[in-house]
Amino acid sequence: MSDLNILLKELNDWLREQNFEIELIIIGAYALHLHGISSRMTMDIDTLNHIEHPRVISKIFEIGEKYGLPEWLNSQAQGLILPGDFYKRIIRSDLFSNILLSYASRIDLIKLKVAAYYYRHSFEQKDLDDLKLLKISSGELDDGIDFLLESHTPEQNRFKNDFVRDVTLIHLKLKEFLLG
Amino acid sequence: MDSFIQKFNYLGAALGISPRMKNFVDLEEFFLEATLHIENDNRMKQAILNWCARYATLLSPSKIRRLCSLIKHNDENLEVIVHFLIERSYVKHNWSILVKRKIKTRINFHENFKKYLKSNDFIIKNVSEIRYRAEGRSQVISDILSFTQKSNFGSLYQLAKGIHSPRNRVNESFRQLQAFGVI
Repeated sequence: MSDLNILLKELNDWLREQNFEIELIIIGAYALHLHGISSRMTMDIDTLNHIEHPRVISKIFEIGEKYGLPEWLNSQAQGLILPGDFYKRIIRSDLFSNILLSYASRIDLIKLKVAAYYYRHSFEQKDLDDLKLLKISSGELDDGIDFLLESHTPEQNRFKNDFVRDVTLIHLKLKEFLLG
Repeated sequence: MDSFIQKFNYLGAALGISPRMKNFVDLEEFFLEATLHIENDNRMKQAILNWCARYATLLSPSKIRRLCSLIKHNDENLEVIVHFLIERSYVKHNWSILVKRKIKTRINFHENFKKYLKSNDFIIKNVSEIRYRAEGRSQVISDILSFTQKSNFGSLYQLAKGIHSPRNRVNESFRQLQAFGVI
């Protein structure tokens, strides 16, 4: 069980007392955890939606301060390019009574992780760790690469060729690391 | 591994909630132990490097050197981490006593204290081992204060052993702290 559940439970208990409800749409490492995949996680949850209510924001911050984790629940992922029909595939969880928790489907997690690996593999390798844990198939890797090519290709031709070439190299690298 | 993670979370890693640590945690011993775990996975690696980047300046390289013969660690990883810390000026050049040869390190490091570590305010408030050092106290005095707040000891010899420090220095520092009513 993730220690993040402790913070979420505290938030849920408070929401219940206040008769509030919030929605959280989760991606990233905590989403992997919700899929039952055990991985080393940092104590932060990436959400796609923004919390608006000032008292809820204040409570989230207060809980974070208590544990030394002021940014434990953040919507920095808002604005991320998502796979098509992402919201049709999200999975709902009834883990908490007053937090409408949903998280990215497996295939969408894979697509987002492949894209994340492309952008940050030169300085950050955690996305590779997560892809290994997902034990992705060859077909799923191809889907991830297709998503990257379809949604991230630059419009200008002078950048397009370099991008496609780099993605091809990444594809080969990931094939080697993940599929052997 | 679990005991390492528990210590690491106590010392400020954002890989879990900070547990209550009843016993003194020796920072230099922890640093050496970290060399055994740095290659476990990439989040662990980044968390260790970020912790070192922020707090290694509070550690004593001479104590680390002394502990090398007592504490299990990975020599190669130790050299790489020390080179990394010196090259990026996270520590001073006196740390070069810990390396045998000059190597050019290529290390994937992503400085992101907010992601990999708990807030500095929280760590300073809750981790006495780090707080006393951050307040400018010497390694021996910091460790004596932290150790004596958490553990009983029968003799100054036991105290010296508990904080892995030379007996004469521990005697002198302890008497000073006693003389001024600090302990």
